[in-house]
Amino acid sequence: MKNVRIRLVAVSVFFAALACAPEHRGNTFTEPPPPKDASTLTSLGVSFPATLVVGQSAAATLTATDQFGASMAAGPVLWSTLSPAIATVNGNGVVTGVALGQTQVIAAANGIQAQASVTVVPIPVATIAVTPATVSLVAGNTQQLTVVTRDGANNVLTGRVVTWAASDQSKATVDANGLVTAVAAGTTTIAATSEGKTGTAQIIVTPSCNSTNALQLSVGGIHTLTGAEKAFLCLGGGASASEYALIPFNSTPVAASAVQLQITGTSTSAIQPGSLFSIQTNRMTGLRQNKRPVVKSFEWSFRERERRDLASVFSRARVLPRATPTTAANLGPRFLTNIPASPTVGTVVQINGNLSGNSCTAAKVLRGATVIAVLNKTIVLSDVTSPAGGYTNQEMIDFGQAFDTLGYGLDTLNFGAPTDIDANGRVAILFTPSVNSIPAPAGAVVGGLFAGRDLQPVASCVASNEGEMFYMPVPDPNQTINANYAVKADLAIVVLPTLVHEFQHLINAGRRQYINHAPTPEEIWLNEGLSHIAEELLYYRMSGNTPGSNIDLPLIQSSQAQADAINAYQFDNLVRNALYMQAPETNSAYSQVDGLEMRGAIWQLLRYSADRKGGAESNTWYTLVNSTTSGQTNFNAVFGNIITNARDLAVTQFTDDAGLGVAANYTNPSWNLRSLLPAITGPYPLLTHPLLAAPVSITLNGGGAAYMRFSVAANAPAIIRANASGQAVPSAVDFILVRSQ
Amino acid sequence: MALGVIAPLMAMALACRHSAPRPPVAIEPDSLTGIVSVTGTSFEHQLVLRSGATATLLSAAAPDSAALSRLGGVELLVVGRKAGNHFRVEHFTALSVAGSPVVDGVVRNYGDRVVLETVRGPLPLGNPPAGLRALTGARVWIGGPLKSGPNTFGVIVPPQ
Repeated sequence: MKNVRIRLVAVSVFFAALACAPEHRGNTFTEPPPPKDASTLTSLGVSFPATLVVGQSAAATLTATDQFGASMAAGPVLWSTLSPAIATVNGNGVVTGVALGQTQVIAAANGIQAQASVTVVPIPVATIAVTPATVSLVAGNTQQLTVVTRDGANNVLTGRVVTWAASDQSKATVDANGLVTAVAAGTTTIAATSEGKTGTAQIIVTPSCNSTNALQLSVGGIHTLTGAEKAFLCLGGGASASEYALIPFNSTPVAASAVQLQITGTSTSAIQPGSLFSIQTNRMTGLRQNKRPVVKSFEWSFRERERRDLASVFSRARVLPRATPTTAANLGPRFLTNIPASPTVGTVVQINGNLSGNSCTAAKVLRGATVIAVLNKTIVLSDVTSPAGGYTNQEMIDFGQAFDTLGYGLDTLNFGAPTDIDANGRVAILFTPSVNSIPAPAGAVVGGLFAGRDLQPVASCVASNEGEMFYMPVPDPNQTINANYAVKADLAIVVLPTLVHEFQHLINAGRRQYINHAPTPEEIWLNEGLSHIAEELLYYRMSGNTPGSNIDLPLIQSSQAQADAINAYQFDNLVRNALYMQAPETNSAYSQVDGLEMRGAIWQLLRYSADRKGGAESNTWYTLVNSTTSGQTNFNAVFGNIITNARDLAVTQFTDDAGLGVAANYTNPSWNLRSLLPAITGPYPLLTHPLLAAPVSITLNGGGAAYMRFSVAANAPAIIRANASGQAVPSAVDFILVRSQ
Repeated sequence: MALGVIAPLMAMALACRHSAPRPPVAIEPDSLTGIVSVTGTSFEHQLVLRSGATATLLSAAAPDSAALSRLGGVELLVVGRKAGNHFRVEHFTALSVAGSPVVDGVVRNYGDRVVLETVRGPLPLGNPPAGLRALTGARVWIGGPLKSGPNTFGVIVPPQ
């Protein structure tokens, strides 16, 4: 038995060795390998993601194996789902979720089936928004909140389960349907959650508002709202009806900074016709109407032109005079000059009259200019290319005399003496068509200009005329250049005010650069404001009136001389101020946008601040011009904080000369604009909004103010609410409330 | 591991070699920060960047000059090169306004969503004020909490 076993093992080993041997081991065995059976599909398998989102598609993976367990092609496959209402499948096995639920994806081939389960799930919530985002409620009141759920592609999703919760139920509660009930004064957050995503709404619960807890002001009363009062103010409702102005003021020192506010009133009504600011005054026939766009275009052309800075020039030019004693008399002559130190009447000098484009580096365009007068402080020059029919020599000399005897002394008294880099002891006035050629819209003119380039040495500013001078336009009755300067009288009336305006610029630039060694020129808004003050000072000189005399329409109507003075010297300041009042929300005195509105605002702020400061005005203006600081820093050093001044002036626009008996800092001592402006612009131009139930949306720039007017009935207090895009009003926005009736 | 030991040693050696006093080398700054102010008159204006007691005169190409002129009072980072006595601005970024940080970018509107495209990527804005929504395509600076508001804002380059 043992031997048999041994033999069987040996044989088995032998045949096993043969079976495992490679064929090339020899030709010992010639039989082919046994034939294999043909592959036959014996099983199918379907695999698939377990879940599909509604609308989502995914391909099923099919596996087919033969009788040997090897993979093989399945051949034609028939796809189906058990419930096409839940998911469908196409001929390629791509399954698409249709509706929520579970079903089977079935594959059939050669009589064999396989299936896989698929669950169609909802599109997941990506965001949830609650509206309104901020709600202010009186305790005891309710507010229904709503939600919008969205998917990742921002599509709205419906039918989602939402749960609600309040962060502080002592302030407000919320039920399962999002109905909020205010409990007690305070703030709470309501959270709505769906599929792990949460949205919130802020609930501000305010106390109840009734006549006993409402804020009561007497007529003329002024109240600055607290932060809580900005969100909710219960006001008035006393024994008699009352009227108010709510004045939001953006106290940000950056004028370009804008904030948007929404303000609503509950139980407020419109002010009654005939109330403050509804006064209609007949326009006096002696006061000129605002039909001549001289000033507007004057600024327009410069704003619209390409402006290039003089940065490097200013800095380099300052180096040389620094080494010398800092008096104007010692500053020159050190440069080549185009205006002779000892001019002679009748001679022709060459002046660069190029006023287009880059004022410093543009090549000179020399124009012959005849010296027609050498006065005590003034040289009058006339461009030899001036069109026919313009000013006569005598008229130009008269302009020069007026400047020489009035403007020069006025400006130097208030701002300081000019430099004298050309060492002729005078300021030159060039009447030239170069000014007429400055591009301007039809009907508009450039009243005149001072070019800072002319105070720079030619070495660094090739276009400089190296002398103290102004450029003035010339009449062009035959319209050889354009039609804007055809009427000599319209042009002549602004010559002297323009000269005192430009002379301030000249003094300011020269003294800052060569005498006071300020590191930079003055900022534009303050520089222009001072020049408009120069115009106003000329008006006082010519009219005999004085600052602080509350000039009103009856005074102007008292004589033709009074009317003439305001028409000639102060009219444009008043028009610019009216333009500012028409848009006080997006303009301010310290705006970097050099528009007429800013000019009107800064003139008024300087006038208001000087009146408020008191003392000798000439010292005030002199200090501002002869400073080494600039802009708000300069202003603050002279008048105190500019924001305080601007905010109080914003209130003053409403309260001044309104018979409200307000404190002095809410008055304009020098001008009764409520009386004067209607004679020029129609009704008092201050822009106001009615504050009623519909939200008022306003944009306030830094230094800007808005005026919301409303009345409150007797025994029915009103509620005023404000927010900034649904959030609390920023602390930088002050709300000042004035009771006007 | 070895490099971790060698590198500090090399650095020490280099440091020792360079530890001898050397004459200072003037390096031109390529960026500055400060607050912009617009000075001069209507006819000629100058852009100045103030930082403490230092005032740097700026120059820029016309489009940038116009944009900078809108930024009076805004703190900027300006990048460029010093050219003589002024700084030639090649590009700039708004940093802060009235002491509060701001973000500089372009307003984009995607349906009811408003996004600020910045150099660091898009930033969604929550509750943007209507005035800001209306500035689609404009380069602006925005202050305040971007996700919830309220936002302060200012235009750097108006929409085209």
